[in-house]
Amino acid sequence: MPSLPPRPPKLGNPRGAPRASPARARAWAVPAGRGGVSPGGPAPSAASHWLRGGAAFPRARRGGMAGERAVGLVRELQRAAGGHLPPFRAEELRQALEEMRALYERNQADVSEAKSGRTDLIFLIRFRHCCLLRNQRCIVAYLYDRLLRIRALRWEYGSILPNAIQFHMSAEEVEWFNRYKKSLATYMRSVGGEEGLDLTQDIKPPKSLYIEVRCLRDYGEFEIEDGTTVLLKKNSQVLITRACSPNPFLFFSFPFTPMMCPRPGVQPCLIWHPWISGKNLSVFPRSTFCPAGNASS
Amino acid sequence: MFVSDCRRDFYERIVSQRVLLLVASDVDALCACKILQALFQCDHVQYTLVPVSGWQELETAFLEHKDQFKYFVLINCGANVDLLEILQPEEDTFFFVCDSHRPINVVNVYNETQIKLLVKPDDDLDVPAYDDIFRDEDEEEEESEAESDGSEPSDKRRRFEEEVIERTMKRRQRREWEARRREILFDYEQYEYHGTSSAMVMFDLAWIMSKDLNDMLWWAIVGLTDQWVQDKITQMKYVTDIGILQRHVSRHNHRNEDEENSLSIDCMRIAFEYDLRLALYQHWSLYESLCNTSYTSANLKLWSVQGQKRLHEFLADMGLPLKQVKQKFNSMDISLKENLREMIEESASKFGMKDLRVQTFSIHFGFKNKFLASDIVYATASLMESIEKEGPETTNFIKALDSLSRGNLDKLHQGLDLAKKQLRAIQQTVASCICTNLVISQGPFLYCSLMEGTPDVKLFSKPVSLCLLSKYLLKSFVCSTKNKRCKLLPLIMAAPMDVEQGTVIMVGIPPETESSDKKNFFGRAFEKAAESTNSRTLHNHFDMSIIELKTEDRSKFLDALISLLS
Repeated sequence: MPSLPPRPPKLGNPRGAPRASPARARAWAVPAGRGGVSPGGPAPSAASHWLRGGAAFPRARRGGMAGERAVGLVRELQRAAGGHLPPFRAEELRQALEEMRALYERNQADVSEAKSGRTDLIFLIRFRHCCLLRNQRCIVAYLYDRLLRIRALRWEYGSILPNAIQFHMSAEEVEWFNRYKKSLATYMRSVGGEEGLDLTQDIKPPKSLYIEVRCLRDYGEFEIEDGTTVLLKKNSQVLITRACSPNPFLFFSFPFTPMMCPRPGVQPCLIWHPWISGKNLSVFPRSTFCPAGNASS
Repeated sequence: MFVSDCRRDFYERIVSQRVLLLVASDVDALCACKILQALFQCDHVQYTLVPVSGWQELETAFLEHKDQFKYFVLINCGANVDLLEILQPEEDTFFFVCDSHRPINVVNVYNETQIKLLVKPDDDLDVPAYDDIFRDEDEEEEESEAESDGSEPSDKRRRFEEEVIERTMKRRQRREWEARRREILFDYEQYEYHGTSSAMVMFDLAWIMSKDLNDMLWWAIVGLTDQWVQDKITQMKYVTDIGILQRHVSRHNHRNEDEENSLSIDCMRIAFEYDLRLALYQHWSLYESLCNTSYTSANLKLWSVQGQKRLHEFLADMGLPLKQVKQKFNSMDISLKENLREMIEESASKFGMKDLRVQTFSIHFGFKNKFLASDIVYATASLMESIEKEGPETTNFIKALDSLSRGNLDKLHQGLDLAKKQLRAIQQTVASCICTNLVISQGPFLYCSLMEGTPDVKLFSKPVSLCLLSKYLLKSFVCSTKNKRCKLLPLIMAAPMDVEQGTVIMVGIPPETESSDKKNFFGRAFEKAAESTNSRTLHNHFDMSIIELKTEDRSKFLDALISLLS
């Protein structure tokens, strides 16, 4: 027999000899109603009647195929395109882990039996092991992909995430996010000389050196980088250098909140309207300086 | 002092500086501001734009910003008063004034250092000569010092007599000179009028620098049309300026004629039109437009039943069915729209309206968007003076400024709706004033006062709307009255401005004649009358002929005016 790479044993044939028949394999997959490939080969639901030890596997009618929930998690992430973070499926994760635990326990039981002579259980054990590995792979991929998305959120939204997104994160993810923020801040402080360099600004090179700002409320005096002060009054428009706009000097000294204002007691009063190009200004994230929480650009 | 080379003496000086732009609240100023903003953005001039609607706001803005700016550009404000006296600036502050108000104050003209006027030299200015109005003070002191030098006692008495004679002669000459000076100044400052539109001056600057665009040209056109709509310039001047702009239009927009190289339909193009004078007719129905344009409404006398019949006759003469004419212009039958202009012109001349067509320009971008310059003027003006309580975020000035950009079509359409409301309100008010004989002759002028309960009276608490109303009223009155003498009188119009504070806004407009030179003497007249009666007036507006007055002082103010002007 040619040496093939070890494949998970197919359990479709009650006569014992594994017969690779794709049509049959697919036939098993279809009644389950889910389109993915089942991890350990065709569903053992039909074959469970000849398994010793009872039908311990989840069957199509009872609980679905092995690894189904884990794959479901991955599929959900795949559907949420564009970096969107769907809610954290703690319940499904718990069920998947529960499934893994169940598989493991059964494997443990069968291993001891197999050691005492029942060699026909080895296939089953291998199958369950593959399911376990498959589950592990899916769950780890799920968690890792979520972390990558959360990391991208830091670059898009800044240090403070909108409440809607925070709601979707689990406690551990929030913890991870905070630690990532801290490490990013430490790095940015260490780069670029004295004040540090804010890498999250100007991710794309800006098209113009100056932006036009429309003041919607009285702000008072505002100091630009080169020392000149600009008086910002209601309904005036000012053309100033882009460098001063998101206040890099404020980034490190104050916690960056949308309600922040360097002068206590004065309500935030600017909505920066970039309309030279009219398009979004990749200068600073959208939730900046928005008193009502609505970004308008 | 007049700036001869706009680019060198104005633009190059401010291009590396931070500039404060103070812009008045009228459409011409808005257009000039847009052109200048575009130039500044091109060259990265750091500027701050502050809208001002009157002298008080100008002073406040100046006081707030004077520590941070050394260069100020004033658009459509500041030429007709002594700026240095009002603002008291430091020695190193410079003002660049681009204003269409005339006459320019003599101090502004002859100040060499701080005030630069961006005015075309060929505007008919008639500024009095320097020696006629300013006199060096040093001459006199030197002579008096030389006279008081000691000399020998023997010749002293004779010299003393000669000195006395010389001194009295000099004093007499001085008095004569001063009397002549007062007369010259009085003649010079007596009449107010308007010169070239600021938007055109700015466009000229852009053209000299070869930075002019089609967009800027359109703003210049709108600025000029605003002057015409508000009746600020004579017909001659309007036609001359149209000619100047026509050259620029053909330079920028010649690519359409060539079939092979024509532009896409989405590109903006300007075209010269000899179009109907009916306000907003392409965005309204023809019937409404005929009813609400002052020219047709006054000539057909549409406030009376006779007038309505004449209107129907007019439409019948042209062969336009009423049903077609009353629906939206865009939905009218194409066969009717084809020769509309020529048909209307023919029929109109039969009814006594010879000037129904006027030279103007239209802008065209995309399939749906075609606007005449006057449409934009009406829309922007009504946006700027809208009394609707919008959100506190942006004021009317900013909204109006935005609506001039082609990307903000929704604001423009909002402005068009407001303009329709405004025009309807004006026509209804005019009709009611004439029917109830509210326009009374006071001797040297006509007077009309709007009562508080009049519908839409809040619309007329704003200066530009009130001016528009008064001009329409005067035109209609001239057509309605049989009294030959009354036809040549100017009009003063009063409307309640703020009910709580009890103020009234008063506007004076020159008489309506065929070839009027649009010169308005009410500015000085109002000032003098206010002085003589100690009335509590506020001459806040940049146009001197618009004032605010306390309601209680109104009657004595008017009496003083009557005695002044008769």
